[in-house]
Amino acid sequence: MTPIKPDPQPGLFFRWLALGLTAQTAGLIWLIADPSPLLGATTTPAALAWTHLMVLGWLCALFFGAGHPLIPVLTQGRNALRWVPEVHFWLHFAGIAWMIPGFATARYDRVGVGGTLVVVGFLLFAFRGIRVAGMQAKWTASSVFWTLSSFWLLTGAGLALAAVGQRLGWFFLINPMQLLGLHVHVLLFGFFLCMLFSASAKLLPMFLLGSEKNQWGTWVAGMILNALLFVAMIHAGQEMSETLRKQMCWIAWAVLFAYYAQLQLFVREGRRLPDAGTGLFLLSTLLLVPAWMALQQFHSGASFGQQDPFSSMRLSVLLVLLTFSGCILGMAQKMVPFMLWQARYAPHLGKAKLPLTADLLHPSTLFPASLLQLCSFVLYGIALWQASGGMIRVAAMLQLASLACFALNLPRLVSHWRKPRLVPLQPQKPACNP
Amino acid sequence: MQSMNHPDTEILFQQTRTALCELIDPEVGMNVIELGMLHRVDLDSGKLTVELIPTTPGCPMLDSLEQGALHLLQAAFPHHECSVCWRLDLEWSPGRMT
Repeated sequence: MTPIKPDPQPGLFFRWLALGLTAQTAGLIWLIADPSPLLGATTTPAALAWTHLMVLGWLCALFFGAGHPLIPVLTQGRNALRWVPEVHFWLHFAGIAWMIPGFATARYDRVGVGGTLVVVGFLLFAFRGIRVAGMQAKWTASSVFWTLSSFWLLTGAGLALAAVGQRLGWFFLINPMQLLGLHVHVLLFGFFLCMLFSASAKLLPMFLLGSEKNQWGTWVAGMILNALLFVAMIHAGQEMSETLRKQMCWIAWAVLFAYYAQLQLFVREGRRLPDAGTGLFLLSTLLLVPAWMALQQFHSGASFGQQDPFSSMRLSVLLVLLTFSGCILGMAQKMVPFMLWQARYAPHLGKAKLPLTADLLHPSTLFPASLLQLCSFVLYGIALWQASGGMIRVAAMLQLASLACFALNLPRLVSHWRKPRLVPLQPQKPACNP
Repeated sequence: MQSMNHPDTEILFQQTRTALCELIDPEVGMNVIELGMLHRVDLDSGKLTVELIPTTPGCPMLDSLEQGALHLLQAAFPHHECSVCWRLDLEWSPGRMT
């Protein structure tokens, strides 16, 4: 027998998870103390520091923690470059430790150093993803959009470095606000959404026991989205005509319709009902509807009750980030027990009766935790719409309460880690020699 | 599901099914037989080969399931050399579930 490969690497996943949860807790406490990062101007030192703490510290940490072990799954390739996840972790950790205080104190030389470390980590992640995807025999919706999301990640990171370079006066490319807008659009709608499409195409049929065959919705949604992003890139640095912007906003709705049609197909064809984790994933994607409405208001001047165009852009960005946050948390509910199971129980499969991955968590904590997350997301949306600092505080408290609910599982997880529950199988009667 | 053309083919197939009933996917809580993952059983010159179809290509459980299946098969067929192979060229569908 060949030995079981020690992959996915559970220790590393839990380190990323710890980094992400620490950053999120810090960001939420910050928001409770001072909600101005979500209400004031988006380019103040505090707003930039808080945004990067949440995006790089929380979202990206959990995303990379889950992403590295999922690369061979999503791309259906063989595992390769196994040293990358470890190196990436330390680059990311050191990078944000330099970058976030740099933003908070408006020291952009520190931001440049930290940002470069983070970008080198992104490069390694994307390189590993593309290398693994390239080793597979067949390109699927999941692997194509994984590769495209890696492309947008690198583009977005390059734009961020260009923005820092411009700020430090090293060179001038285009209007700084346009550069910033492009950076946000490319990362949010290119990287995050392509990744969401890739993960949905692979993980939802896997968790719902459905077929991966019919992916027309993913293809349509992903292709239109990428076409729109390329059009935006071509027009970088130029004034896009209002008609084109309006047309692009209306075409963007087709992305959502196709994606939701695909999700509905997964749920309908699946043999299992969504559990708390998958439910949180699916329900979080609904936040994309108000995000699109806010984006449309920003780009085409359509009115949905908001007057200040920049606050609608901020609302759109926040809703896309919350969508991604909910999806990652939903997947974390599946990945945390799976990683523990893989580390402690996988070598005993076929030798002993083992608990299921769902047995490693308290089911009674998962639904309240997911519900609290969803309530906080809705409240954030309303708070930004109403420009209410008090509501932002309440939403942050709800999110903290949700994390506390998840944390109630910690003793059970530690107990399984320290003492796996193995019940020996009844010895089999050897079969007669046919 | 297919099995070889052997006089005792049905017996062998059933014995393999019985052995693999203990192999449970920890995520879905069903065994590989209920999931319809068993594709073919072959016995050639004392070598027993079991072909399985993964529910999803690139599934992170493949290595663990393979080791578990091998362990169960060797316990059930101690006089045979057993091997497990994944049919990644075939696509699993929910219709295979029993």
